[in-house]
Amino acid sequence: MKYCQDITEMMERTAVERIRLSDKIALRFHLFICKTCKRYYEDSKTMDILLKRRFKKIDQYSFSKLEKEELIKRM
Amino acid sequence: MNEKASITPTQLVDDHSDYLLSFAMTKVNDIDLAKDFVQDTLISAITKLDSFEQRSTIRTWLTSILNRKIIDYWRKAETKYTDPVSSFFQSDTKKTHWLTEKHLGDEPSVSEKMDKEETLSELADCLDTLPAQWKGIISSKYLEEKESEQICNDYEITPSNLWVIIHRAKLLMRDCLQTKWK
Repeated sequence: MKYCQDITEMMERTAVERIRLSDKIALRFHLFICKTCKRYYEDSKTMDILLKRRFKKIDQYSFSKLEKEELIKRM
Repeated sequence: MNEKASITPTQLVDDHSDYLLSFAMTKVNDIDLAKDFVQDTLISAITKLDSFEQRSTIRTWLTSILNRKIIDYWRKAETKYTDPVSSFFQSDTKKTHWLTEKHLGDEPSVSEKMDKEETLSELADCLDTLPAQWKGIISSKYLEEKESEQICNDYEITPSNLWVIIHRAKLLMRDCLQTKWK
């Protein structure tokens, strides 16, 4: 159990800092034998893509006319 | 004489306030807080107009002021705690781990659902359920595509804090998505 936690954390770690080659190999090997982590790995990659896509088009918010007038006054 | 001299408060508000508000809402969950940030940004922009060097567009310049304000806000919030990272890890997110909590297999995977149109809006909802500061970090990473080092500097966290936050955020978001799909 502890090992799966380390492994899934390592997936994010590789994006932030350099990890040892032996850790990389351990990660690959574990993904080969552990279905749950493999699936998490795929989901993690998918979420990277989805998050980028999500932010491509940001939600539009706006001030009301009154708020804008208020803003200008304060400036 | 130059573009700078002709910038008026009305222009700044008309041309940029809605954009800035939308940007702020990618970083915080609270619309009133976001509006406060935009107001502070516009006020300091108008007083510091001389320091705008026109090397970038005015919108880029305003966005960087806004970003600074949001980061400063979180930094101040953080110093209220003895451990600067403690509030990143709210107790309920720390207690259980996905593997010890349940067996996976029956929940649909995110990969299977990625092309569904509603998945993106579901993901947006789930982003809002994350601890408040995390949203700013996620937005820095995926919207502004900042380098990890830059994000660590901005939020005054270590690289380990950063990957642990990203990891936990993804776990929470996946959980949240799977609950929606049940």
